[in-house]
Amino acid sequence: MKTKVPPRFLGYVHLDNLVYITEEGEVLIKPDQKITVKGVADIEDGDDDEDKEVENICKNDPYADLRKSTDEEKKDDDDDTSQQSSLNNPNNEKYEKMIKMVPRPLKDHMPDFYLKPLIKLFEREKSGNSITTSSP
Amino acid sequence: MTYVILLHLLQLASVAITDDKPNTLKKVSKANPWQKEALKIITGSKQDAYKPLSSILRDHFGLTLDCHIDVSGIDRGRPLDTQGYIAHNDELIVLSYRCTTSALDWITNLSTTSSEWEPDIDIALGHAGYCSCLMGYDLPHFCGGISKENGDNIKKPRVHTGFYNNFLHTTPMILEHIAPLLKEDQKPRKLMVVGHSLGAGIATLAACYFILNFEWELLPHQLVCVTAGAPRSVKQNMADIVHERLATLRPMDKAFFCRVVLNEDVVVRVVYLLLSGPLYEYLYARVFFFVVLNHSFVDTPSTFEDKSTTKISGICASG
Repeated sequence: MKTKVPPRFLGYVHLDNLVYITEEGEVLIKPDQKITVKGVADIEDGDDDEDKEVENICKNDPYADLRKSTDEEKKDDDDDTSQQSSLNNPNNEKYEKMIKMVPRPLKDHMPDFYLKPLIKLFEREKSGNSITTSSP
Repeated sequence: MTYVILLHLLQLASVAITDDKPNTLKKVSKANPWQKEALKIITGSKQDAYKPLSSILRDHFGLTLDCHIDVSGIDRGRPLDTQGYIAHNDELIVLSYRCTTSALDWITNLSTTSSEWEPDIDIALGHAGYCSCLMGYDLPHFCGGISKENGDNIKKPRVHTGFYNNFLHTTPMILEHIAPLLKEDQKPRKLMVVGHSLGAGIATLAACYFILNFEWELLPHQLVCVTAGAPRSVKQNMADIVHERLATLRPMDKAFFCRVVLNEDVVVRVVYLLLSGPLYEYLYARVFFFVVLNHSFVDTPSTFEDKSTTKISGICASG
């Protein structure tokens, strides 16, 4: 939400290079060039064409093909881990229940949601399932 | 920079939510339980999440806490509520700002006025200046326009007044704890300016201050700014100056700015849905009316492209 305020029609802009994390937890660097990070990658300067890059991703979802192969695997992993964490930690279950009621745009602004995909990526790489920067 | 460093920096931004005072996290997490969750993720356990900030920084990041930033209240009619910390070790200096936690923070977030970027004057003054949002525009006097002193016709770059004021109140700590570490005779270090949400807005302006006020070409240090869920905090004329400076320093590997956006954080579906209907037209008409009256208020009228409701509907429909 914050990334859209204050409104652009008042002349405000963003400054820096964009790194975009998708709903599926993929980290996209230079989203306009469709570079997906699945392992260690350099985050370099890209075209900073404001939010057009992000809007295009939301509209066209150019990464659908790229994700297809790993979607099912990821879903299984997620189910397992969420069940485990709920069993181990009842407080977490309460939090997860509460968070389910929060609308997605607000949820996506929360710090823990920012950290989780990057941690997942890090753990995936540590376990040896990594692929270096790739582009479709 | 690798995403591992990115993760590290987002963690450093998230831990700004706590400090060394007893029960800070407890108080904050009553209204913001996700902050506790983030700290649990970072520290690995609930017990560690409640530890003082200095312990977390020492145990998990190998950093020594130099100072807490804590400025809050109303100053000259302006809401102030800025927290954060400065820490360092032999390789890093970290300046981290806390995100939105209070009503005063929301007043800052919702503010849309801009002020001229003149830290040399405003740091001494301690704030952006009285009626700073009216300064620097060629408005007629009956519209509230105030002429600049000395007949200065060159328009200064403009930044978000709320974030700028919050940043200005933290400069005494920056000058005391960071400036000495950035001297030429110091060990080469990376200055990491980080923040999430409101903290990201303030961090962006702090990074602007560092990039424009230090001669990075001559210093042995590097400047890195990483923000998460950052609001827009500068106007185009400020962005142009910073991008130009970045273009010089980037090939020398001296400065790097990065903005992380998670999924729909950037696409405000709720607000867009509201704004794509009659309410938006109403607001648009009001703003347009204001701009016609004060034609110089908006630096780049072309930004009204944002009105494109078809584009907005497309984004909404995609979800």
